[in-house]
Amino acid sequence: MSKTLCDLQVGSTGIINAINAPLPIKQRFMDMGLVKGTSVSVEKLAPLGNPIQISLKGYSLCVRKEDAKYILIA
Amino acid sequence: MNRQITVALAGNPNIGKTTLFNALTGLRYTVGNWAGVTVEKKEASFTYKGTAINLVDLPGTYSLSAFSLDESIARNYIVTENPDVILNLVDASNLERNLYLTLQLLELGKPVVMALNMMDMAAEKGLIIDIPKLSSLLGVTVVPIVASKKKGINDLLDALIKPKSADPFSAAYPLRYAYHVEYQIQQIESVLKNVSFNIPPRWLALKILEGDLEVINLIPIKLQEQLETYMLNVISEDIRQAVTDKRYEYLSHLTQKVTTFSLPYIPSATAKIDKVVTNKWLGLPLFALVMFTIFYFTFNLVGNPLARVFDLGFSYITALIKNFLVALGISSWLLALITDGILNGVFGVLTFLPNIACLFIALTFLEDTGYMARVAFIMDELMKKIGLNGKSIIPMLLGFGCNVPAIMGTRTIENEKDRFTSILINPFFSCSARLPVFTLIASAFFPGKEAIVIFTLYFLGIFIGILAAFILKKTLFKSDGMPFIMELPAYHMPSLKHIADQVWEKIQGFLIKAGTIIFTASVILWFILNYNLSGPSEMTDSLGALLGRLIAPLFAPLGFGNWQAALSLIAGIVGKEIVVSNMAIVYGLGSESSFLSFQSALSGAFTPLSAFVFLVFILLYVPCIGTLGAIKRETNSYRWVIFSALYQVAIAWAVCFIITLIGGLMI
Repeated sequence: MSKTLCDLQVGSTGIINAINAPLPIKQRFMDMGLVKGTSVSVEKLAPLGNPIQISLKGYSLCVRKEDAKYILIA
Repeated sequence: MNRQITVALAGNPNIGKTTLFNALTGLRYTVGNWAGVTVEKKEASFTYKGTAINLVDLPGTYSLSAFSLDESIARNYIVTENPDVILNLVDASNLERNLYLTLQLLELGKPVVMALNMMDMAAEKGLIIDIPKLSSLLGVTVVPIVASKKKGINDLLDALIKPKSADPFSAAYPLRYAYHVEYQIQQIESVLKNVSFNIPPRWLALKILEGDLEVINLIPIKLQEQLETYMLNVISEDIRQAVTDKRYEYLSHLTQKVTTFSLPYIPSATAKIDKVVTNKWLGLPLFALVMFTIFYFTFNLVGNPLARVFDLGFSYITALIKNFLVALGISSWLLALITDGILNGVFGVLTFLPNIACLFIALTFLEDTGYMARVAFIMDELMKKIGLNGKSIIPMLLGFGCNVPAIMGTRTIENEKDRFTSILINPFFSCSARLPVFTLIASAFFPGKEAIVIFTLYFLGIFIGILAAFILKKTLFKSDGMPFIMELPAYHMPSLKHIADQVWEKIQGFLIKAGTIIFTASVILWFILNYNLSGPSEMTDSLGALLGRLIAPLFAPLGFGNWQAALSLIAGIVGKEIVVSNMAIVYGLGSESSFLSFQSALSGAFTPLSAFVFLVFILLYVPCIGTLGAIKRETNSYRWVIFSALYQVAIAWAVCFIITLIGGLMI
């Protein structure tokens, strides 16, 4: 089982390796800039533990943990 | 002769597109809907230096992949309506992600003028953008602007009206994909070369490779068959990835070339604010405090005192009109129709205006600062449990104030299914107009226990609302399985002008509704409450009373099968608070009724159990006219208005019946 964005510790950074999701979902992620080779860091967890705040390319996104599992980290 | 051009405004969501649109048009625009869908379409026509400009606001999107409705609309408009210029709004402080859309716009082969917005925010971050370089690398005109301060607007208009070269695409478009992609593009282009489209064949070829059915269906079947080998699913996924990767790779180099940082990196104000606002311990209490403040501001501080002033003003105007009409000598039925029916009904709803305005000022402020996205972030986990996302929480809570602005506030929920669900469950969140009815009847039947009764009612409303959301999301509005990805924008000070514009737009929408659907409904209700088939009558002999007698048996299983109760419920559709004054009339108490006489009159007609059930029915049944009007406006269809009324009556009846059964067993 490879490491996903969901497994990253808060405060740590990883490089996106692939997006392992059906096409529409994959395209959505890619359109938001989550493409292979992008450096992404996990900023924080929401107070209830989900979703997570991630940052990439100078902006922040809110992603649910279950969706973050689609994003494989190198 | 005047030149005429059509300009399509495109850009990412939440980067000030509305502000720019307003700055360009000065609020003289028409709001409609894109054909067949509920997505709002804004259009404006104006003349600048002798050129007639027709500006169309496309939905805010991050991409043109057409996997979402907004993206489809934006793309189809450009492809089929063939605008003369695309005005692409780009957030300077977030260049790379914004330019991703720009690249896709350029591929469509239409002239693009780029408005580089929020140059002030970029400067604050210490970001310097080499505009001439950006312009020459992309081959488009770039105009720096600050939309909120109306800076650069005239330069932008000058750039828009400047005649454009016929096909900038082939000349300037800079991006070339990987060799295998380009090779296949060329192959397809050669098949397509004999067909004339007003879209660049290169773009068509790319979309065919991406397996984009919307575009594939535009080309003749015969050609589709010829191109079959290029449309395999395996290929399309690979192509899409190669294309997206390449675009971002290109953009990452491009942004590095055109931007420099003049300041060393400092943690942004946004990060500091978020330390508190989305803090594990402080986030939720802070949100509760914000909501409390909004309600206090809306209902105690400003809204209700203003509503009273409005009420006085309306009574005064009604009296003036009445005197005037009497002086004219019009017949008494017409006088009654105008004053008691129309003015009473429409003014009654207009009294909500201060509250609606206040809620919208607060709402727009929170949205513009960027706080709303944080609310969605911290509440998402909770809302996910009922199949919605974090953005649905605010309209839900606003419903406790007034369902009308709450339903109008669902506009911020991008996902259409979630938006419709949020609209349809909103009336279950008991608005403030229902409180006086609860209080009065509860104190008549449950003296000393009013608080528990009222709390139970609110709680029941929330419970039913959540249940309804859950069921709607499992049936009519099944989720499309798309991930919930939301940008958390940088905080910024909202502009007063923008807030005023937004609030005015909402109020205008409400006024138009008050003037149409609410007007019509008021007249109809007045008529059935004051007339019977032989002419004017007392309310006790009216059509409404007849109708009440007709439907009363339906309520017999619920314990209040008398025509007075049924009539009160019909009248309550005008506004829930009217149930009380109406009951005073139909139970023959007159306008001077005291609380005690109310109590004794009702105790004949209701048992404590049936009184409680009656309250539950009032909580859950048909929303008021104002709310139905808001539902019409936001869903753009009478079908959902009728659905909303019917399903709520059905739920109200079912819940009441269950309570009656259980209550009967317990007593």
